[in-house]
Amino acid sequence: MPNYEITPTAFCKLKLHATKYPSQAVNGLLIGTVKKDKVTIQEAFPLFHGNFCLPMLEIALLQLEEYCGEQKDLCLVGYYHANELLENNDVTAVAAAIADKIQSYYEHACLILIDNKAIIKNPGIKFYVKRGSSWIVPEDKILWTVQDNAHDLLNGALKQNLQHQIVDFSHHLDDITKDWFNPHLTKKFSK
Amino acid sequence: SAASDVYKRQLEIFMSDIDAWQELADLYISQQLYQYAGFCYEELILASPDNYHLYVQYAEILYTIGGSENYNMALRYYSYALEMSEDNNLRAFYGLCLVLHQLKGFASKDNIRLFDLAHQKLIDFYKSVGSDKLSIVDKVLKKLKPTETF
Repeated sequence: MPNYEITPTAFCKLKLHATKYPSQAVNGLLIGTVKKDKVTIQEAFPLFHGNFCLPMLEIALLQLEEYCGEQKDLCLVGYYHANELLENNDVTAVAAAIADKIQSYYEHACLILIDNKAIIKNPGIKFYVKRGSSWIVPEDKILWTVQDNAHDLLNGALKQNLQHQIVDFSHHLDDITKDWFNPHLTKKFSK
Repeated sequence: SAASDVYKRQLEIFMSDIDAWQELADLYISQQLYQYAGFCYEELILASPDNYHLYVQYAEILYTIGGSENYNMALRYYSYALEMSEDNNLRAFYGLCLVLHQLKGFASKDNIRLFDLAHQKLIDFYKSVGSDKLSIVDKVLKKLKPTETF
């Protein structure tokens, strides 16, 4: 069983996605590298806000699958989700179903649930892995961490209101010029 | 749930409350009650037959439920939507390709031609804006393409 590390870029993007749509559920996919006993979640690809149905999810998955195929060492490693209701901190059936699908790409895929009551706190997320047929909090020996300057990066991004610049797949479908890979944000974060 | 009961009572009295139908549909989708969401969309389409977005959303629900009958219906609704507006209608073009892929066991010459048309339109869209997603989209669509069956 590997340990998991979340890079500042991935962390910020998923948080910004949630803060951009505070009254709606949001979700997205996580891509990263897998090395022996460590998964590094490098990037977050925001997918939808509000309701969504199967077809566009399949298109997004197929495109990311193709992208990973081209990048050689990248792979789909997880799924993130923020529930619509403030008090709802459970893994919903839909979230579990999508995370199960990601498991077919990588057996130790993870599920990140954004803590609605602690979005801007550190880390403000709940981390789940699949054990048997359920997504549960992993055993103590499994380490999952957010890399060091992630929280500071998020604070800086929120101060600059960067959440307005994040693009998800749904937005891309409405406006083809918007890039759901968010390279403009990746560039800002790497500085 | 309690919320859907409230909406249902509202709609019993005001059958033409479009916003209520939409909210009820959203509630049903969030609870994975896609069949019921579909009924709501039928009402919405009756009320606003010119709104092609509704046709696309209804097609998405049909696809989500699945099964060849629903895929064929979805094919029709995606096609109606595209007849109304091709501009910027990425969801409909993508949806059309997916549905035709699902129906590949019944791939007629017409279906294949339709897929190729949709494929080309999507490529043209991505090309026209100089998108770097062009190659990924093209590869994905090539993999989805149905081949002729008898």
